[in-house]
Amino acid sequence: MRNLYLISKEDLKNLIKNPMWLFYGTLFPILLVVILGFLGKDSYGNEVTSYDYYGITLIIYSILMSGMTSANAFMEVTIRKPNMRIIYAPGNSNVIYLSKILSSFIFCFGCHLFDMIFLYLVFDIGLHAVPQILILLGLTELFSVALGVMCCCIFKTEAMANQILSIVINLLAIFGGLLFSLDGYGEVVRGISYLSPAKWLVKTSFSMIYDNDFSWFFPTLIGISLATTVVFIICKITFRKEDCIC
Amino acid sequence: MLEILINDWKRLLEEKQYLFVSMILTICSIVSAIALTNMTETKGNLALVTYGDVNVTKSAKQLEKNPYFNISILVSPPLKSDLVQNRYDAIVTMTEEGTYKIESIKSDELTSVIKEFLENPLSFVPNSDNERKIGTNIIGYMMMFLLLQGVLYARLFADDKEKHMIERVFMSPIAFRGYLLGHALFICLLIFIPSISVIIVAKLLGIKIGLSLVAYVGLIATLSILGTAFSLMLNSFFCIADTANMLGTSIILLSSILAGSFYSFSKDKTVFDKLLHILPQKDFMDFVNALEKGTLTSGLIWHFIYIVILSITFFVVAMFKTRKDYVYHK
Repeated sequence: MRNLYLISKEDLKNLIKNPMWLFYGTLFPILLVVILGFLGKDSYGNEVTSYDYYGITLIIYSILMSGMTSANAFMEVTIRKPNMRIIYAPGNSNVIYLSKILSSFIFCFGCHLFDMIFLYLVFDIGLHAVPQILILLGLTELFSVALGVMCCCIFKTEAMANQILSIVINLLAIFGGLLFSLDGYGEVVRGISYLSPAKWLVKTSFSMIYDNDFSWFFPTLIGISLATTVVFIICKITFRKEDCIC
Repeated sequence: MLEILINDWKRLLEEKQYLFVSMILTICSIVSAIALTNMTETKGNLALVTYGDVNVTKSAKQLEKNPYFNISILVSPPLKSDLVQNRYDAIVTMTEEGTYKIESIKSDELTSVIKEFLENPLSFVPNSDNERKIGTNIIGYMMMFLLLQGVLYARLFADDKEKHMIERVFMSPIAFRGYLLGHALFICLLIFIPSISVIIVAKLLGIKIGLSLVAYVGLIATLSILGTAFSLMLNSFFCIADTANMLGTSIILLSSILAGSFYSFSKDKTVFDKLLHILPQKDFMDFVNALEKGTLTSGLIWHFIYIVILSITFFVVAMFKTRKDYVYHK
């Protein structure tokens, strides 16, 4: 446990020190919301604004994208040699990936919390059931961060993990209606959009915010927790110490 | 140049898994672009709330036949979250006297269109100038993925820089221009070939793709050149592959969304709209839209030329930057 804490602390420092990742975590989601909200303003009225819609969906989008950060934190060039030293040190080598998951979770969730508070204050985004939404988003964050590390464990190179993650997540986001809503595009498309887990998250959040309807909350929560467990197990199976040698 | 091309190919073959997965994902994204376009219905959605009234239901049934709106007849009003998620554009409540009450979270403009429709359902014709056709939509969905691939395939060039291989290359008698052109050609082909083959297969299967094949070849080639030049320029400024990769991904994402590649946001004749034309994607979408509708003007052709010039500029900047950094001068 102590090893995990120490390594995570160092990883977190490493994450915070990189300006690119700070930009990606804090400024990028805000920019996305501002731009899309501004562009979509005309098609919404005064009661529910476009910021209300994009504020929720794009935060979910950036949370799903944080897998890229954890993939970078795991296999970045400067971090490979320290990883190699940890394998040779006495102790459990599982802490290598666990610490990356933990530190990028703290980093990304911190950044996104900042984004959410900022957007809430500036654009007055309609919110309801805040604790439930935070739990939901927190678990999603954990899932996507672990997914990034899992891709690194499976494909062994960071470039490939990044490539796959960015395309897969963008596809899920488009089908889940995160970048623009698909619900109005006919029966078939609506059915397809429910294939994307992103859609469940959006649906759950919006029914909690606007209808006080919590019936989707627990199924989604259980779904994400199961998925996270599976991802952790795959990490455990596919992680090999030898891959860290460089 | 040819040596670089062949060498790049050999390097990529060393990682068959990588090549395989990226090809599959490319194909997936383009197939879904075509599928999504072919399955979408761009009609308005109205929820007619009857509260179980027989007379009202009868008159609502008549409205259902119109070609411009999808009408769902409901007994009780839908949830507000459905409205927020764009499931319905408006909730219409009918009374027995034939008057309507429209509730919507959308703009007043849309509400007045719906009102117009409800009053004269038979003579109603919507204004569909802004609507895009199939080909434009397919290109719009594909654009972001094609440009993203440019950034991802530029990895070999980034690798050269990161592992200081590039310095050795320039010490050898390989021509500098050939080196960069070789990489550029390689990335271009990697983007171009899989995507155009998917389009050709779709055409052969008889799926509607809107534009002609020749047009697709030209358009996809332009996009691959733009993506390649942009990613080479980005990589020439950074020595760390991740930084260039992440920055490129976010720039492409933001600018593609801004340019309205998925969904056209902008209204004409605002200052903001004019500013958006700095983005090559915006010019590209306008060009494709006009090409498909057959309303090409010389102004729009200049937009297209702007994209080509921009790509060349990106490439030239990449070339000068790399030469300044790595080629030995007296």
